[in-house]
Amino acid sequence: MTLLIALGFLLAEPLIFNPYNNPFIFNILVLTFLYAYLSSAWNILAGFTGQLSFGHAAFFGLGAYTAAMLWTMFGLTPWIGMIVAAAIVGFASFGVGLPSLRLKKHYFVMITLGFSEILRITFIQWHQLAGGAGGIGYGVVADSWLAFQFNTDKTPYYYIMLAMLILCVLLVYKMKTSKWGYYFMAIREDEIAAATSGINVVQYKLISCALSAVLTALGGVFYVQFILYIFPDGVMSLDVMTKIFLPTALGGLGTLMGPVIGAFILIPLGQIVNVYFTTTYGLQGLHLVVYGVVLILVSTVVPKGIVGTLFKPTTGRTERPGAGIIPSSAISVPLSESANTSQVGN
Amino acid sequence: MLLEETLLIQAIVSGVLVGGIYILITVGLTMIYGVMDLVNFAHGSFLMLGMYSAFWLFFLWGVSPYLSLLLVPVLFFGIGWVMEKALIQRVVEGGYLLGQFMITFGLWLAIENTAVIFWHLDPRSLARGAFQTFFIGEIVITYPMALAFCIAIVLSIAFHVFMTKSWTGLALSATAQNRASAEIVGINVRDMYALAMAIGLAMVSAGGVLLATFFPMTPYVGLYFLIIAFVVAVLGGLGNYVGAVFGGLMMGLIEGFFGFVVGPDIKQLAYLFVFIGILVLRPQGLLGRKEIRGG
Repeated sequence: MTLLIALGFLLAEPLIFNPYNNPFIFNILVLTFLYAYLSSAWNILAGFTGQLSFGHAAFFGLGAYTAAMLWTMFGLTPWIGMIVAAAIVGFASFGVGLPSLRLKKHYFVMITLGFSEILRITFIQWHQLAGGAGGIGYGVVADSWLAFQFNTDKTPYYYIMLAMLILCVLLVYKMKTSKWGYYFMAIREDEIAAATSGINVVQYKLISCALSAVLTALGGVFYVQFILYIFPDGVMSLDVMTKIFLPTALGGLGTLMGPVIGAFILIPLGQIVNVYFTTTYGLQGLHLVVYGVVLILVSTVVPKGIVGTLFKPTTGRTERPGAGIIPSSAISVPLSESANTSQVGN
Repeated sequence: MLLEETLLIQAIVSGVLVGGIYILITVGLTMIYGVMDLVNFAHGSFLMLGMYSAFWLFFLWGVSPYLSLLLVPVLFFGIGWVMEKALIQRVVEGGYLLGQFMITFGLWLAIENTAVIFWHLDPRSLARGAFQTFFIGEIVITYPMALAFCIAIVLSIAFHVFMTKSWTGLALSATAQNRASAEIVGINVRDMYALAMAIGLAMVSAGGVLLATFFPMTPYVGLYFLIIAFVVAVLGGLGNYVGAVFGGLMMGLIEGFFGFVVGPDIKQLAYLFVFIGILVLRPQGLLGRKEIRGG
């Protein structure tokens, strides 16, 4: 019910606050939807399948660059750009996933980060077509759905992004109770047990990775149409990766609404701090300090995130998502208070 | 000697000399991973803070960087201990993987951007004028780099002696190998965690002070060297501090060679491909035994 009221408000919002008169609120809301969407997509791989990817900024950037280059080079509409971007990033995700999804834990994080850095440096060095470090600027054209540009009346951006977010959340909702979703979660809980039960672990990890990457790439296409400017550090850097995973971290890893709730808290906070302090005091980067402090606080105070803390899962296992299915207390000898609580890894 | 060859050897020698700094950065990172099962994303920020400490000590009070080398690591030892006890311990004990990345990522973001706010982005340098140099054959070597390399090697040897000869060092190794057994024989594992973090930060800050003598600094320098430290750690085997020495020198070699052959802009790509190749083909590192921690 609360959800419906919130949704109704969001649908009516551009009618109450005209984006032309309130560009600040409008921008915050669109970016909030965008990062809620991206974080939900990341959550499919990281939260439901248990593979913490730190390379999603690369998928985001690759999608954005694909559409941008098709538009500037061939004048191809970004709607077709979206399809091409999805195809390219889908293949790229197999290329990244095949070697890396066999690796465990920290190794997976580092190899995805490595791939992401490779792509970022490649685009910085790619001067001829991608504009190198300076990136690609769009020529502004008249508002049209074909060109995916709405410069005088920005309202369509709002509804497109909101629709993408709702579709993504619905997809995750359906996925949670589908065969795929159960397979993903089984892999997250215990890979060996999942393989023993007849799940092709590598195949379903790849599916999860591709799904998550393609959704991220579509977000990238939207982003470049909204900002109308793209450069490698703006779409592929670790700062972007932070904004992708932070909402999920705050809201709750592996929860349906966690990323959305997290984004609705963090992105407005960051934007307000950024705009207010940068313009008033010239403190560049303060919003990133705020994000850093939020991360430190969340990880020490509510490590399961807001949703994960408020709504305990009903499966009986409340702690340590991603750990083995056997509770650690059953296999470790409780020597002291710390021996029981601090069993690291498996 | 041909000019080409001289230049190539020159590039490789300079690369290996910088490799000494890589060892100091990576020994801490890899030991923290070995002991605590934690990848410290904030490690590069402490390198950056070490560099700025050397800069400000010199700029404000005229303290020579080589004197700072005695002061700064002590300070960072304290910071590491307190930070581990106050913050990171809670997360490590939860055994929650995302939590680890959140806290070290958060520290990295907070430190780096606070540095941006206070010190801005203009590069600073301790170097005044041209470096003094000496020649070996036709190879030019600058004094700060040679000295930094020697000090780094001495520190690494001292660290190795500490790890293999002292009770505390052996206790750290024991914790890294099997923490439950370490606890059984009476090692305070929590203190070992804090000690690993403290020593790691002391080493990386020493690396920062030495690096500051010949490398210009900006607040973003940390991330660049963090990626390098990952590559070095993986080259030698993550968690293996002896491997980090090998990896650091190897990395210097790779960087010097590719910097010369394909140019300084693309050398990053070269070592990142090496990084991915090793992770895929030999995740235990070139020196590592066939035993992957956390696997």
